[in-house]
Amino acid sequence: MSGWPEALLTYGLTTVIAFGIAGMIHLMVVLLEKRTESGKQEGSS
Amino acid sequence: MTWEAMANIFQGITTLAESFSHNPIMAAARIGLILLGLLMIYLGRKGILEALLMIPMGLGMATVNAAIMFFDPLNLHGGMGTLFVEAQAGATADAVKNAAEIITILQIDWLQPIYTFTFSNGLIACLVFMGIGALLDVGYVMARPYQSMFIAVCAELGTIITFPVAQWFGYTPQQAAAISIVGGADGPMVLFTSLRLAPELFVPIAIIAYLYLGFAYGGYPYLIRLLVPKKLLGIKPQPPKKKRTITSGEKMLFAVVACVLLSFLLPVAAPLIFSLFFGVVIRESGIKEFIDLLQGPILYGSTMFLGLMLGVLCDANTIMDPKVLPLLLLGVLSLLISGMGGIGGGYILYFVTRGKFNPAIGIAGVSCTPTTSKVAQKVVSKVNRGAIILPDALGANVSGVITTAIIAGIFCSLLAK
Repeated sequence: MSGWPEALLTYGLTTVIAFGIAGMIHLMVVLLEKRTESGKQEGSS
Repeated sequence: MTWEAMANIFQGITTLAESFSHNPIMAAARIGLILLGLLMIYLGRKGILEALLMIPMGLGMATVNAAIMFFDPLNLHGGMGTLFVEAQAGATADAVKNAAEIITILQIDWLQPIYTFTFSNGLIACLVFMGIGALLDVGYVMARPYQSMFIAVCAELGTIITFPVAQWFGYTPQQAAAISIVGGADGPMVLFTSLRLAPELFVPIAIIAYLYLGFAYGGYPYLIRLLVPKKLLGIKPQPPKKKRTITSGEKMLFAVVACVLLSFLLPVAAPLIFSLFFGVVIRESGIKEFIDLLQGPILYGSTMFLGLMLGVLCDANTIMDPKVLPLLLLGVLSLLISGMGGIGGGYILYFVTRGKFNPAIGIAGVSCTPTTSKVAQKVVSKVNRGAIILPDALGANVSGVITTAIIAGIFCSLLAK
């Protein structure tokens, strides 16, 4: 049955890109949280 | 008044009688499709299948197979045709002939302008995606990005496995890719990919994809009940450790970055990626007039014409093409494996979290937004009313749209003729 190499390549790339986006979201949320916290600290001092 | 004059007046009956004498299988298919169309309207009305698609599609299918007359201006169907639409106009290898055919048919068939100017260039898929984007709350993915993406990747299993299987059935790699994307359960993506990779199979693939998406609405609850025991269906998801409200500005920032990044990585799928995130950005921008426009007239207008057009394209000639029958099997296979893959992903998370994750959420990785999320919640609610899985399911659902767009982009780039 032909097509498996392309199928596996597609699945591999999809997994990498999908988790890359998940990592980007995670990083974004962490940075935004830090910014909010530092903003709060500056406000209280 | 002669019999000949009567036969000329009631051409629907005459063409059917003629088909019975020359090609009884085609005549039986015509009657079968009329009955199927009526059944789709009934099941849509009853809420067993997705009414938004099934009612216009069923009426279109029943009517177009009834309204066949002695009319075939492009000589494509042995002297019989309708005044609705001609999908094969302009599909020859000769560019000049194509232009002449399209101009001719645009002036005859009443739905041809919608087909030529919104279907054959993928515009309708993009319009539906804008509307879907305007309904999506990306906050669900942002709250649990790894979990959502993991389920979505697992729920693409059907797309990946069907690709070589379709080639084994004798389809070219391009056709196989267009067929297998049905497993992503994302209608606009199926339209887009089949138009890019296998325009000759666009009509049957699109019809089968949307038909099955309607059936998924009715069929997936049985798959969930079959694969997930009642005890596990009642599991309440754990609330996130750090509960923090994600602002609309943050959601908008994510949509903008994801849109540019994904378009940069996969330019072939950029129209769809842009349309989806455009909808998300409009939703989060708070411009009420634009939000109302996308969520209402654009989404429902394009869905209605999509259903109607797909129904009208379901004439006996198209459905009885020998290349179409294996598509029926491959479409089911693709959606079934994707559903099983999603639930399998749910089970992996169930074991990783030591029994705290409801495996039924996995079905929502199949990106038929928001249908699969609703289906999962409905099945779970019947077992445990207090188990609210919708936020987790919607996260997986939105991620499913993203992963299907990624696969469509890779297929289109990898296999472009």
